Order: sequence, then structure tokens, then C-alpha cells
Amino acid sequence: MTLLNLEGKHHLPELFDKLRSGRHLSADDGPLFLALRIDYLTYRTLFEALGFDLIAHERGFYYFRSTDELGKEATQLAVFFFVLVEAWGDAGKDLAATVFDPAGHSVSDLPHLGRDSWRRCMAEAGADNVDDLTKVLQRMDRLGFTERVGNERFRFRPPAWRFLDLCLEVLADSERKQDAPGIGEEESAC
Amino acid sequence: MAVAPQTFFRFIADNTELVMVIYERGTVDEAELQALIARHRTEGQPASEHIRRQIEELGVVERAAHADAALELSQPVVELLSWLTRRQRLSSATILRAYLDDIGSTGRDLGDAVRRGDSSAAALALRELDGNIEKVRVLSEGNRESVVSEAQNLRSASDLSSVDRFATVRRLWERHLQPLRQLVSVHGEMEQLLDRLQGTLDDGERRFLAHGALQQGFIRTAARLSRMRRTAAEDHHAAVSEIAPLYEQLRRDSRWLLGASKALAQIRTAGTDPLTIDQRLGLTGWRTRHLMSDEKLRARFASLVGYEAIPPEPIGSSPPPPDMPLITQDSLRGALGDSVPIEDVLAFILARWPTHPLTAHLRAFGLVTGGTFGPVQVPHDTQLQHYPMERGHIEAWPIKLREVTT
Repeated sequence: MTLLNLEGKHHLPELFDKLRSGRHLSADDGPLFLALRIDYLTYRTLFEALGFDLIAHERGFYYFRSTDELGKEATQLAVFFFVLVEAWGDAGKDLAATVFDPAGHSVSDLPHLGRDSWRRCMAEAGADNVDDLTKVLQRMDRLGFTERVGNERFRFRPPAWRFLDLCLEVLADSERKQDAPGIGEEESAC
Repeated sequence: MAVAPQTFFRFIADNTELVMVIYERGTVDEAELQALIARHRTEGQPASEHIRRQIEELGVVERAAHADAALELSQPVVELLSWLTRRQRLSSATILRAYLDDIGSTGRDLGDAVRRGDSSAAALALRELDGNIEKVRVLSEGNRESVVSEAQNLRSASDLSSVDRFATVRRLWERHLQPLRQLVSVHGEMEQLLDRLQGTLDDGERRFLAHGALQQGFIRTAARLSRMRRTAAEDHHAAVSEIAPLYEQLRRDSRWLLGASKALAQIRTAGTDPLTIDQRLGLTGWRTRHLMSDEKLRARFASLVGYEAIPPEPIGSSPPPPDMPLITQDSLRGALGDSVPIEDVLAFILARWPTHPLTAHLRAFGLVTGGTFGPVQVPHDTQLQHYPMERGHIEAWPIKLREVTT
């Protein structure tokens, strides 16, 4: 068994507390992020021994990956983001630049309830009114995906790249399904 | 009928705005043309009817092929204006290829003429080559301008989705830039063709040393060829530099958009479950739910200050505890330790605690066979044994314990 040197790991309790609550830590989190960045392998080994999977994303942030189900929460966040991507993409905006616009986005400009098809998707995820959208944003804040900029605005933090990754995953799945021959086709190929 | 260039250009100069409006619109009908002439006619200019007649006579406009009532600028005028306004249309690789094939074929004719020493044929071939080399250069420049201008339009287009913009860029990339890359690449087809032509021109320059004008012709064509090769490579490089970042950005954006749209479409038809978002995101949600906060605990303690507990009612006479005799681990260890080696552990346990229930015997036997007190053995020559019980019997293989080690 390897004994880890935990001397000087002053941020350990706070790091553990935040990561286990689902928060994604990025450069905006200052010392906590730095602690992970400097000593990632030690923390990873330590948390692994405790049953937590510390992930370092290539875009420069850290989080615990879990296999537990979180109920509707993750779905609401993802659908919220899918709608934004569709709205901004349809408007021909540069997506990465728009998502991570440092000036942020106005809550009142959110498109989610503006089109029937989006409203239906949000309802499917259990968030189909302004109050629900506000709660989704609060969850985004808590998990480190967004940050409030003043009263009525928010901006996406680097961990929101996970939702863009998710878009690509869904597309890749769909392309795989299209490429895969159907059962009948397989049989006839044989 | 030929048109005097002076007359043509004077008309264009006097009616530039009118011509540019038609250029922008593409086609106009008779009534629109009359109205445009009237709107753009300035004082001192001939009557509208005169301008209307001249514009067709000079070949500035002609009847559109698709409808007699429609008029459009004639192709040479369109090309001239496109060149002037740097809005050349993209030429496909096929057009360029046709010119290059011509250059190749004329180059071969030139080679024959050089070998035969036929100065007339050589002069003729040089003239053709000059024209085609210049056309390739102009087309290449035009393509560069078009690509740059298309890229700028795409960057500023606000009415096109990322997917549509990517489709346009992909078309530019695949239909115009990729084939051109093959032509201008080192060791590519164009490179080889033009290398051969360069060699022929060098031979011709030496062969016709005594023919001053013709020798100069070879030198001029060689210079044109060098310039065309240089600018074609530069144009291609510039066009690629303009489009490549846009292509990458739009490819990435369109994939994000397609992914999000596919996810939303799936949600609309089959709900959120098939997407397994929870699994994919793997968010951790380990929170201390249902625990009291510090404030609540403090309030609770405050409410308990001064609380005096009411003593519980005394428990009346209760039935005696059930008789559950156990063989404890310590007593078993002691008994085994005193009796090792033991040939048959189960027989020993049954004999040592005869009044205990079967469950106690089996638990003790389980501890021994599980190695709690040391290694046990099953003798090779042993037989299945029957152990009589109060109601029936147990069958087991005898287990031997040599010593108690733990």
C-alpha cells in the first residue's frame, strides 16, 4: 500500500467537499484549481482510494465522475444547453465564442420558452416555466458550469465544454446507428 | 456587329450607376429598365429613349435566355464588372483544367516546332500559350478574390445557420480548393506539365538564338509562365488560409448544432431516457441530504433548554429470557486447544456440547472448517460419516485439526 504525503494539502477538506457535491473546478476557482493542477496525481490517487473518480478534462477543469443517477437534474441541464446551441446555431453565431462570451447572457433573453418545440423539450425534462429555468441556472451555478454576472446575467465557465462534448457524443451515436446495417440487411449480407 | 471601344466606354462612363444597378439585380424587365433609366438619367444626358436604345445596341444588356421579357447584362460586361469590383465568380477546377490541357497540347506543338526549327509554327504556338497562361493566372486571381469575398460574406451572414454556412464552405473547399491544391502541389500534375513547358521554352530560346524577335518571344513567355506559377501558388495559399479557419470553425459548430438538434428531436419523439444523459455526464450528487443544518440544530437545542425528562413507566414482570445456549469462540478455542489433535472435529463438538442445539454445533463446526483456529485437513482414506442426532442424523466428511494456531 502506498502512503500518500498529505503534508501541506491545506485545501483537501474544501476540495473534497466541493468535488463530492458535484462542483466542477476551473481556473476561476483560484487556489483550489491550482492545488489540483499542481498535484493532480496525488489527489487522484487519494480520491480513488475513497471511491471517487477525479477527472482532469483537457479543457482545464476537474470534477468527480460518478456512476450514480442524479434523477432529472443532469437531464434538465443538458436539455437547457441543447436548446441554447440550437438557438444560437440557427442564428448562425460562432458557437464557442457565443457560449463563452465573457460578457455573459441575459436571463430574460433565454430562448427556451420562445419556440413551441423547445418548450416541449424543456417540459419533457421537467422545466417549462421561468421559475424552473431559474432553478436550472442555480444548479448550473452550484455545479460550476455557470457564474452569475450581476443580477440578471450569467456566463458559462470552462466546464460547460462538457455539454458541447455531449452534443458530439449524441451526434456520433446517431452516425453510428446510421452506419450500422439493420437486422434484415445483416441477414441478407450473410 | 463590332462596337467601337470609345463609344462603349463613354456610354459606360456616363451611365455607371445604371449599369451597376442592373449588375446587382441580375435581371430586369422592360418596365424596370425604363424606370431605372429615368431615375439615373442626369441633366445634359440624351433622352431616355436614346439611352434605352443604346444600351442594347452596344451589347451592354441582352435578352435573357430564359425569358424574352427579361434583360440582363451581357456576359463580357458582367465579367468586366466582376473583375473591377473584385467579385469574380468562382471557376471550377474543370475550367482551369481545360486551359491547362490546352497549355499542355500547345506546349507539345511548340516542342515539335523547336525540334524542326519551324519559326512560324513556334511563333504561333507562343502566342496561344501567352493567352492561355494569362487566362489561368486571371482565373486563379479571380478564384482567390471570390473565395476571400465568400468567406467575408459567410462571416457576416446573420441569416444562415451554422449548418448551412458549413455546407457553403465545404462546397468551396471540396469543389474549388481541393482540386486546385492537386494542381499546384509540388510533384503534382500541373507542376510536371509546366516543368516540361519550361524546358521547351529554354530549348526554343537557345534554338532560335539568331531570330531576335522570336527569341524574345520565348523569353517573354517563360517570364509569363514563371509569374503564373508563382501567383497560382500564392493565390491558392491565400485562399486556403482564408477558408481553412472558417472551415474548421464551421465544421465544429455544425457538428455541435447537429448533435444538439438530434438530441432535441429524440427528446420530442421518445423523451429524455434513451439519451442516457445521466450516465454520460456522470455528475456527482453526494450531498448530506436530510441532515439538520447547524441553525436547525441550534434551534432544537434552544428549545430543549430547561427540559425535564419524564421517567418512563417501570417495566412490569417480563417473561424470562429464552434459553439460547451458545458455544462462544473462546470456549471453542479452549476446548479444541485442550484436545488437539482431533481426528473428527464434528464428532468432538457433538460429544463436548451434547445438550446444545444443532445451530450452535453447526456454527462452531463452521468456525473450525473456516480456518479460524488453524489449518484443517480431510484425511485421504476417510469415509462419509453419519452423526446421529435427536431427530435424524447429519452426514459429513470428517475434518481433522492437528493444532490450534490462532
